[in-house]
Amino acid sequence: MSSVRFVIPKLRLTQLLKEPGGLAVADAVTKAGENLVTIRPTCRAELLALLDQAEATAKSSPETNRELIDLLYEYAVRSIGAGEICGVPAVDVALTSFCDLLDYMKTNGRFDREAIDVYLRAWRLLMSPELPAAGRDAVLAGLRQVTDRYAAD
Amino acid sequence: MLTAAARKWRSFVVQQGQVVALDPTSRARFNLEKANILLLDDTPMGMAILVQIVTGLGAKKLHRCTDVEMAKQVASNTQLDLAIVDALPPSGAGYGFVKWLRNTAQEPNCYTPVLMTTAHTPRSDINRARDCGSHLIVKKPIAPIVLLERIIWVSKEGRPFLFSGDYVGPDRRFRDERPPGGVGRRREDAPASGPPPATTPSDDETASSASSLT
Repeated sequence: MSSVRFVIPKLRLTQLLKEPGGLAVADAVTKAGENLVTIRPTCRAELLALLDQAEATAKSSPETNRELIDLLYEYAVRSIGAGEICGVPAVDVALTSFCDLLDYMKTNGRFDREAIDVYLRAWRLLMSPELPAAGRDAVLAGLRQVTDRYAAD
Repeated sequence: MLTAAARKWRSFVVQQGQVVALDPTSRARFNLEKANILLLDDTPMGMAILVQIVTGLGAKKLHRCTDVEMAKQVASNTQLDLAIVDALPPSGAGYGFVKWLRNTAQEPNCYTPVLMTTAHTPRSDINRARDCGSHLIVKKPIAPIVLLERIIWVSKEGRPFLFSGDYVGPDRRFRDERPPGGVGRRREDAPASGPPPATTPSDDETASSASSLT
C-alpha cells in the first residue's frame, strides 16, 4: 500500500501579487497586446518560413510516410499560436486541425497524401489577411471534414 | 457586507454559463514585478510571444530557457515564483521537466506554480500531460487576459500538494466554487427602488475600486 502525503505550501507569488504598485488588469492587458503587435512582422516571417519548410519536406518525400508525418507535425505544432499574433487567427485553427489529422494518421497507421496536400495549400491560402471571412470559414469547415474522416477510425 | 470570498469574485465574469474569465476592463491591481518567472520554450517565436505577454503584464525578472537542461539549471539555482513551461512537442520534454521539478527540485521550488502551454496534445501524450504535476494547461494561441487569469488562479493558496507513489503535484481533485447559480457582479445589479438604507457603507464602498485580485 503506497503512502500519500498532503502539503499546503505557502506560495510567495500570492504575496508578491498583492504588493503595492503593479498594474491594473485593463492596463496590463492593453500593454501586453501592444507588445505583441511589435513582434508581428518577425512572427509572420517565421510562420512563412515554417510553411516553406513544411512544403519543401512534403515535396522531398522522406523515406517513410511515418517520417513525413513526424516532420510535418513538428512544423505545424511549432506554428500554432503565431497566426493570432500575425492577424490570421484562422491559421491557428487550421494547424490545430492539421495536427489532429497527423496524430490520427500516426495512431491508426494510415497515410493520405492528398489530405496532407490539402492542408498545406490551405495553410498558404489562410496566410492572406485579405481572405474574405466567408471563404476562410468555408476552408476551415472543409479541413475539419478531412480530419473528421480519420477521427472516426 | 460582502464576504472576502464574494469580494474576490467581483472582478470575474461568468461567460457562457461555464467559463469564468477575468474582466479585461477591471481596474483591480496586481503586481508581478518581483516575481521570478521561468519561461521554457524551445522556439524563438514561442518564446518571443511569451516574453511580450509576460512583460506586458508587468513581470521584470524573467529566466528564459530554451531547453530542459537550462531550465533545470535555473530551477536549481533560483527561487522561482512561477514557471510557464511549454510542452515542447513533439517530444513532450516539457512534461518531463515539470515531473523533474516536482520530484527532484528542492523546496520551495518543487511547489512552484506551473502553467503548461501547449499547442496540441497528441493522443499518446495525454496521460503525461495529466500526470506531470502542472497546475493548469493553457492552450495556444495564448491571450494575455487568459494567461493573467491563470496566473492569478494558480497563485491562490489552499490547493493541497500531493505526494503519492507515482504522482507529485497539486491535487487534481479541486472544486472551482463560483458565485451561486446565475449571480453576476454586484455592480450590475438593478438599482433598488425606494430610499437608500441609512446604515453602514454600501458594499461598493467597502470594496474599493483599487482592490487586489488575490
